[in-house]
Amino acid sequence: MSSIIDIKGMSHAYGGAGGTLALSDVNLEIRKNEFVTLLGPSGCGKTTLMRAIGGLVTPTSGSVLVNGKQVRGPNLDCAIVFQNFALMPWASVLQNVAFGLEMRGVGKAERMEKAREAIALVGLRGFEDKYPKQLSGGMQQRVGLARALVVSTPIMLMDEPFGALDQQTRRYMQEELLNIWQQDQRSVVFVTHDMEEAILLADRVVLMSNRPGRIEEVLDINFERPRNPEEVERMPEFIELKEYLWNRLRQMHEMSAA
Amino acid sequence: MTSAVQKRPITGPEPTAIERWLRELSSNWGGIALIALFWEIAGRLLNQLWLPPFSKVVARLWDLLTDGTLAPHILSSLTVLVTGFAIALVFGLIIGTLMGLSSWVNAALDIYVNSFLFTPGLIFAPILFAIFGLSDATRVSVVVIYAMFIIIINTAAAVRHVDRPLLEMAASYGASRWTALVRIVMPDAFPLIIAGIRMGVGRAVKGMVNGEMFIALIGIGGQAAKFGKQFDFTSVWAISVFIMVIAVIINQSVSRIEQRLTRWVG
Amino acid sequence: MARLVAFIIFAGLWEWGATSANSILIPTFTETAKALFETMFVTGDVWPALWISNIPMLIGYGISVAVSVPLGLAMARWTVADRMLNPITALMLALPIAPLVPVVLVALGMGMTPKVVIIILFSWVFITTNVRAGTRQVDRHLVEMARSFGASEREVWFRILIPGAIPAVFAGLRIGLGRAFAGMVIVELIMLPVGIGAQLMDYRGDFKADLLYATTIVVVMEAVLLAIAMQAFERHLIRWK
Repeated sequence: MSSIIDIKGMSHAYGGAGGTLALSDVNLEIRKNEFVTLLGPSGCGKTTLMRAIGGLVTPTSGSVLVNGKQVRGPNLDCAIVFQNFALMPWASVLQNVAFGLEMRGVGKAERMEKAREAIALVGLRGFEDKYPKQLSGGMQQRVGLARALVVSTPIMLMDEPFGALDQQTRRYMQEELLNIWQQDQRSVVFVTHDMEEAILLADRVVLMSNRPGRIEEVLDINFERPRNPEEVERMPEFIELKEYLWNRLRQMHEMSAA
Repeated sequence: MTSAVQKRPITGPEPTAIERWLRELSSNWGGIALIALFWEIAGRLLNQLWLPPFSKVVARLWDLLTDGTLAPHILSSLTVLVTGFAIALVFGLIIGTLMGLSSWVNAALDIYVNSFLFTPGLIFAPILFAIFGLSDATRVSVVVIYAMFIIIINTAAAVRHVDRPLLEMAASYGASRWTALVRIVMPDAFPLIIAGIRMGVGRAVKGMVNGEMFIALIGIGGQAAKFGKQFDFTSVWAISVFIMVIAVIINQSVSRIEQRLTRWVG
Repeated sequence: MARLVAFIIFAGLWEWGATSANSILIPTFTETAKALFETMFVTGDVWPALWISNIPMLIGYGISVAVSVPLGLAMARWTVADRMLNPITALMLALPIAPLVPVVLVALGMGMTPKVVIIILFSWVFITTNVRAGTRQVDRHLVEMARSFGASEREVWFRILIPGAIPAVFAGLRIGLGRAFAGMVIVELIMLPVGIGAQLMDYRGDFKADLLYATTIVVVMEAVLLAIAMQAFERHLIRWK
């Protein structure tokens, strides 16, 4: 069992040492092709942890290793799907999706072809020349997903990617993400504050608590794959897990409120 | 979300508005002091008629203010400014509101209002001078032309883009058209209208100075023009610095009032 | 329709007011319209004057743009540049340029240079501050996104910051052009009567009120045309908004 991401004793304080402690002594290994969700209340540092893997945040202490190498600066083994989509409003859907390939120096013909394939994969065929403003929120995040998929990195980082979407759209996106991941496996670190989403998608749920952020517990989720969300949600084990997480989160809330 | 978190200082309470203002001021004051110093040195080294050292300019300003040379002109300028701005305000608000409420009025007037807004107001000075001559009316009307149209534009836009759901809410509670105008449209449009008035004040000051420079006889601008023709550049700089300080004081006061009046905007 | 009715009312009021005022200094609407037609198409008197006025304006504006846009971008991106330039822009925004026109004339002599410099003084700070403000508004998340996909500083500039700043740059260019135009008018009216300014003063002195009004209208038309052209160009460039 080979781990692709290895986080050892990582702490992070915003504003340097002595600032607000966002993460405290985090240890976590993530395997190749594993789907991990980071779940916790707001302020638990789950996004900071994800950003540290992506190299957008340099930990104050401890280390983050990806493929055995220390992460320094933007990590090109990762592709990130952003919470607020982060689409360039002046660029077409096609140009947005091709952006990552372009930064990696892929030639124009090849990157356009790949981008078109990825656009088709996320169900946006026919929207290649539209601008982001002309798309709905769900479609915009499909563009963000396609942009991350097309660079074919071994790791995909997702920062509450469906948080801004309505319930129904969110469900479609979850199903689609499961399908895509099933066909084209890679390691995924998925940040969310939605318990059902965390269980539904993950091989392991990393439960985090706040102030300072640390890992409380790691739960193995053993539902068979490929998963059908509706079926999974009806299983007694799912309901049990949800109840358990709910109680844990409520405890944390009471602790921090006290 | 993250940006808001990161912009804030690490620990300690949020700085108050006054603290922020002081900090901004002090960070700029350092630079301004440097510029003054640079000016002083350049003035002494170059020894040119057109660039007297800063200290001489300040001394001259003090003389002009204390020996009574400027006082009547300041009074005259301020009278013109206040009169012109008051006229611009009244007509600006009325015309702007009408344009905002009625698409007919808007269509009828928007070409003219926009033309006046795009055009430097001083271009009308020769015509106004031809009509009103040396009377204060020339200067007052230049100020009106400078200030009125930005007020019209902002008022019209603010009234036109009033929040529809709020209007529907008012109607659903049985508000009449007049009540809706007073209770919903005007408060909703208020911040943008005030912003227009603030810009109008700034333009009014410019109009006053430029109009007076054109007539070159009375007011602070007139004095500046007179000294300029006499090659008395120390006085020209002194008056320019004085106008700048006045403009900043007026601008800051209006902004302060604006902030106070629109605190609820958030 | 409303426009036409408003125009007829406006013209009628002018005609009636001027006729009843019966002053040598207030031409009627028809007199003005006739003079406008003459100066534009019959004698063509207005064109050379307008040309003389516009040359320094266009040169000054061009230089102003070339200097101010990079300054604004630099201020938005680098705190050091911002710190250094902020006091200068703050002072320049408040400094009245019109009274200082004679200072520039004495410093730089006669001819084209002082006029160009005055136009620059009128416009540069408005372009710089607008570009700075607009570039700072470019979504920081996009910069982060680009970095996460491996963009270099150069690529961040050319793919994110500059395209994102284009609306603000254009707003700055539009405002700057208005300021340069105002500078041109003000210089000619208060200090250096050449070109269109000289023509206006001559017509006023000779009591040629119809031509005075007509020439003023030509200047207004130029200002409006410039503004419309800038807006159309702007809309064309930022269709994605």
